[in-house]
Amino acid sequence: MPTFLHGKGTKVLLDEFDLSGYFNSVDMAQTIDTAETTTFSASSKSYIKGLEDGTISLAGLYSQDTDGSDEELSAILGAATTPIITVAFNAGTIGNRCVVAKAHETNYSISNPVGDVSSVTADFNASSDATANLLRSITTGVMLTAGGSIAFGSLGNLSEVDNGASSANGATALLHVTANTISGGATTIKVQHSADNVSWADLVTFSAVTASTVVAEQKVVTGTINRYVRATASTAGSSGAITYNIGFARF
Amino acid sequence: MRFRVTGGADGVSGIDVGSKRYEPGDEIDLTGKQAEWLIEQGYLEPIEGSKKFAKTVEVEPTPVVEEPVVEAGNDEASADAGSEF
Repeated sequence: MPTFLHGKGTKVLLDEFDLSGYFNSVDMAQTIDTAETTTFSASSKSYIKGLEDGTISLAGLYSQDTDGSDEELSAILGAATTPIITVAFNAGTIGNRCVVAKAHETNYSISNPVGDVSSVTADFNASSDATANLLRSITTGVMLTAGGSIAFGSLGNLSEVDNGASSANGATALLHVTANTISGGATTIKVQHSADNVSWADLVTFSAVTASTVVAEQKVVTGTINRYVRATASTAGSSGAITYNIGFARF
Repeated sequence: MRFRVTGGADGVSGIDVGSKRYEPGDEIDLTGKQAEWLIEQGYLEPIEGSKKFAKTVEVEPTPVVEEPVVEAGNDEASADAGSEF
């Protein structure tokens, strides 16, 4: 019996912001071009694969909040730094699936009808931006975090995600630190992998998250990704809590 | 067997074994089986003088190709014989 998901559990992470509370619809599409190679004497058409592409469309409510929908969607339109986006399905459980993307905002629209709530829409076009080894600028993956707030003294290894087998073509990891009140020192967040679920090696080490700051970062790694992956964090801080999310996709 | 944590490809990757953390440059005792994937992927290297890492690789014997023996004298004799006709 298949298990189906309700859309209400979706989480939208845009750079260092959790904008889930502003949006009520997300559409994503991954496409690949094909070029026809049919020749005389063929009985059916044939194609070869071309370039991959993808889009994300967000729709929701207009808000003038600090770090709200209008402020953030306005800020990234034409920004020098390409935004990173993670859309988590049935968010809140480690291992649940997500879409991760590096994507330019190509449209930001506001609607103000006289008889209804003000709303926004934003469209994104995935782009690798020539990032080294980023084989796909939009792809599906898994969440390595549940997305809850973790006190400074409770940081450590989160539950592992079992891929069933290793993979050989690298991976990308997107970090969204959406809240951080840890003071007195930086926090280090990593992705580790393991072949046996006993010994673990650092696979991705994100830039140190300085005290009381929110950040977003994408990392790309090449080569073998072992069967098991997990997120881990440690801090030199002495008080506070941090909320971090990691979307992880193998190529 | 004793190993040193190399730091992996980026030189900064540490490893966790059980609840213990080892940073690049640290030394660690592991069985060959525990260490196998960490060595293969470049996170550990055996320390000189410690018990040898016992991974063996079966090497196929190189096939011996026997060159055909050509008796030069016979060929010349045939050629010479042919030229006489």
